[in-house]
Amino acid sequence: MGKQLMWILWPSFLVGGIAVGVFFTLIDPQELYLLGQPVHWSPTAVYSTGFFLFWAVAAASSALTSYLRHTEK
Amino acid sequence: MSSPQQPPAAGTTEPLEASLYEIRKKIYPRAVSGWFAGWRVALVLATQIAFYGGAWLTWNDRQAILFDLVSRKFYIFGLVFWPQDFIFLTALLIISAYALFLFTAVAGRLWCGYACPQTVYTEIFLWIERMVEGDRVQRMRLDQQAAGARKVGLKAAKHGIWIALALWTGFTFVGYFTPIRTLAGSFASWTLGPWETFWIFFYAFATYGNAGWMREQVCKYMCPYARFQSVMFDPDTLVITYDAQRGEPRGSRGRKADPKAMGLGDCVDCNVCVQVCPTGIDIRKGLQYECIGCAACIDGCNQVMDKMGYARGLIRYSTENAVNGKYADGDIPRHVARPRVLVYVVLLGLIIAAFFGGLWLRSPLKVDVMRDRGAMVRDAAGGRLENVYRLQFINADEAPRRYVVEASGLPGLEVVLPQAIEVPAASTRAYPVLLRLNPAGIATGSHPVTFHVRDADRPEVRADESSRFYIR
Repeated sequence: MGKQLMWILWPSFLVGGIAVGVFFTLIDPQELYLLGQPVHWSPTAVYSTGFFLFWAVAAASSALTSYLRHTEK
Repeated sequence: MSSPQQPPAAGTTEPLEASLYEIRKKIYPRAVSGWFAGWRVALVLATQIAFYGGAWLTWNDRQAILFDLVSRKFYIFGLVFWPQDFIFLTALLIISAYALFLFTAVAGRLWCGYACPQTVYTEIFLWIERMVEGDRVQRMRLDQQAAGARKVGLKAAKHGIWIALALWTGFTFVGYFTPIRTLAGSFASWTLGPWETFWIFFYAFATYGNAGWMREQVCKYMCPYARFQSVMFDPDTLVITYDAQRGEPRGSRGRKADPKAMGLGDCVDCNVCVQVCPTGIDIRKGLQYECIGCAACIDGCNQVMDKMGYARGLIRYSTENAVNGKYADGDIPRHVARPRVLVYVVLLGLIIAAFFGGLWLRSPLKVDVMRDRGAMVRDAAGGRLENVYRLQFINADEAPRRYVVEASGLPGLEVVLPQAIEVPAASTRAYPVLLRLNPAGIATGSHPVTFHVRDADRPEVRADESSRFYIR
């Protein structure tokens, strides 16, 4: 289980880091809209939240891959 | 799920599944000294002085190295990078990748053994562990002891120093993104922001966990480079090798005994090479993917060879071809310049040249032209027509600049500036700009025009941007 977690959380951490870097290089957080409203958070809060969102999305993908891999008959 | 006592069943298709709950055998690397250990200490010191000290350097009255995410500018000594300079970051990553390919092709996992933060912090945490708990045997004994005042005290001291160092590391890391002197001030007055606090602890926790607890498991299970490095290897790559021909059959013997008479090779089977290994492998079984190329076994074995009065180098840097007798060890340097290495060198050289060339040619002025969306065309005095634009000026210099704007593309085109175009140091400003013209004799419709912007004091700093002028 420990290794499973490492294999899910670690690659997604790397990908999340790259994704947040590329995303916010191209898009200024002050130009973002959340549910139709401009985002009023501090840039640090936007970057940090963005990182965790990307990490979570990548982890979900890794978890699915891992699940399929281990339930393969 | 299997219990830790059960070895993974041989021949099953899913050995990973079987070893999921494998309890890691704790590795107690023994301290080693020697040529390679000296190099590692030097590199640990160099990288860490650069990391912990770099954040405190000052340049032009600001932090010399600062990745200012809030104002979206990266400062590296005299250079300021904007989001528009993304290409340089990409180039830097490609350069790092090719450099890694090149080093790996020539001498294996040099990065892992000497420069990777995982190795460097593990090494530092091990020094602390040795200072507090003693060397290998003392540490093993301590771990086997029942909990007592001495054991609790030593463990608390070790973890206390580890956590303090980890927190300092986290603080320094965040100090590259938030000016470190401001950060130190907020820390002293206990007014750190929530995100800064969070990231300091996050990075500290990662450092403490990776260097204190996970150690070689990060290299074995988490590192992608460890898995694909073998594709960069070829039979001429320098790797750490045990000379089996010379060493076998291994066996213990007295210092004065004649190994030939006993039918033994040079390996005295003292196990020092295994004890010093941070990943706990036996290099005598051949090159394994767990080997991070730290060369601790070379240092350890050489010391034993010296004590026995045998030649050094039973374990040494060599190549597959040299070990198999295709050429002598002395000929290894001549096999470095082979096609694979030359291709890496040429590619790396070209990208580095392009990187610095681009940096040298990078204009400190960038201009963005946006047409005013409100009005396409306005009437002005004397039957003339006006188009309204918004020009954004990016001054990448660390000094305030004044700019001159001209336009071309239509006869009699006149630029009307509402005020002088001044942009503070390393800043962006947008100004409305009018283009005015007498439309007599020019067809109605859209015409291409070009804005020419130049620095008022340094005419060689210029930027041209095209747009459209509408005539009705």
